Amino acid sequence: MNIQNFPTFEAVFASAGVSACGVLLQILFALLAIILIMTFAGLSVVAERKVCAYMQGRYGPNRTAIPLVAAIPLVGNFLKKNGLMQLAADGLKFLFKEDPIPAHVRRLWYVAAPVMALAPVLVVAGLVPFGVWWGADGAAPVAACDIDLSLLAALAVSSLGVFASCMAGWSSNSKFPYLGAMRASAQVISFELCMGLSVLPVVLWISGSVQNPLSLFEIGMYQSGGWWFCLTQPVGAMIFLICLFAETNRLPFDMAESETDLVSGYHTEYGSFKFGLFFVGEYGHMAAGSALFVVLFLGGWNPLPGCEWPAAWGWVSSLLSVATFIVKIAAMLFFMIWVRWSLPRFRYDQVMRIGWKATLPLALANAVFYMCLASI
Amino acid sequence: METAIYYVLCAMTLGGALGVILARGYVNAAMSMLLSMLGAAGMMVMMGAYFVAFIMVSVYAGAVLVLFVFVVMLMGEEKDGAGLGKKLALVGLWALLGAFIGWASPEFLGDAALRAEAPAEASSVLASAKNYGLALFSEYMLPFQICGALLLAAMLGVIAVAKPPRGGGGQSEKI
Repeated sequence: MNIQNFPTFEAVFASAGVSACGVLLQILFALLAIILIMTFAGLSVVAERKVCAYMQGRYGPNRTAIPLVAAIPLVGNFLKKNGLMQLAADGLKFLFKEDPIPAHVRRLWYVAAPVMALAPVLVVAGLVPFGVWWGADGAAPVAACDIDLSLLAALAVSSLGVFASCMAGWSSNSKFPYLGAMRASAQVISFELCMGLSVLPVVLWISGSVQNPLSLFEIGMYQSGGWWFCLTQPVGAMIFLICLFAETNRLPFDMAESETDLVSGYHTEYGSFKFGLFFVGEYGHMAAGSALFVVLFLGGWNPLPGCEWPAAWGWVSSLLSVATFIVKIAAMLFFMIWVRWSLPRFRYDQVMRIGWKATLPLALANAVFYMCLASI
Repeated sequence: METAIYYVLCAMTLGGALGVILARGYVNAAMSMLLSMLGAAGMMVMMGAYFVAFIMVSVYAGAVLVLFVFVVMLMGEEKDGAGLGKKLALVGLWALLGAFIGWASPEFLGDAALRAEAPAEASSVLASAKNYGLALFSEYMLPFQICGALLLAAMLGVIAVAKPPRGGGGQSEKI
């Protein structure tokens, strides 16, 4: 059971001939996982602007050029045209801007809230298995921290993220952020239950045949070479996806910061780097949530339903599995952006009605159905 | 290392618990409660009760406490009446109660017996989840059902209280 002795990245390095030196190495693995999720967060900001631009018949950011880098023959032009230098410029802008604290805020929580937005995302990043490593002693997840309850832990920790928007809205001590915070907390309470219920059938389904049905890695492994859960449990997958949109405050559900009626919602009073932390936290939450969805329903690191990267290929297979996982997360992020620029925002009462009168009964019925099916 | 982590978690739990009583303002109290719960969950992790720890974080910290914060924000911040003296007296009362329990039944504090049987109980996560469910639905069935009935009664009571009186034309209809 316990937090196993990290057979994960460590196994990768050990078999590559690098000796493990305990805590430092584990910190390095955690950093690697965080860097991966943060890279996704950064790139999805660019992707958001570019995809939205193409959907609206524009070019999007393609002018910003950092002097020396832009002069590199092919790379420079590529970076410039695809808006990647815009990303660097925006990030630096957040860092160097003046960081004012309005006089009317409650200072402690005002400062703490952006940190509370980002921290859960980083913890979840450490729990996600990014691929499978075929070592001498069988399969091991490529994850910073492999615990047997990683699904439960990831759901538990990511549910703490809502306190950030609550406290940001409350501590800002002004009307629009306050309304945003109220909406955020009500929305998360409404949809979290459905999220748990939509995952339950997956865990029930595999509990007969694997050791730890609550481990993300084993859920992913169960789907390799077989049907993916999005095919065997389409309703559960759909509910999880809806709840994912609601939990990450993505557009059909972005009640917490609907800019047409709440200025900018819970982070109206924030600026510069504190706003940047909220921003990164939101996109990081999207990336981590997509990773969870991919592991749970989209077959994890397997290329297609019914086929898997063969274990006999060794590290090549492992690399391919990580690459597959990354491609799938990117596809999920693209899907989220696509939905954002296609659908209008729900009204607040519609969100509540969808949550309590449509999604919850459906999730309950789905769970009961698979309970009956699994017990036969 | 483990001892240091244990004391940090202890400080979180106790400090959070003190904060719930002593903090000014409801939201601060709720956030102190979050701190206390996270500390308690951390201690459960150290004892090997992973399932209970994560359930605690996801149910209490992630859902129930969000509800608390929501309600507190809905009601608005109220300058509460109780002064520091009263609060300290409350803390003292609880400390006295704890001391009395420790004095009356020392096995609550000197948990050598508990500690000895804990690892066997929680030898695997699945087993612990299963044990948890089995114990809940067999040995503790009656308390479980009574709790359920109590919660239902409380919920009905809240609905009855919150509903404006029908037909009587009370004040609530004019508002």
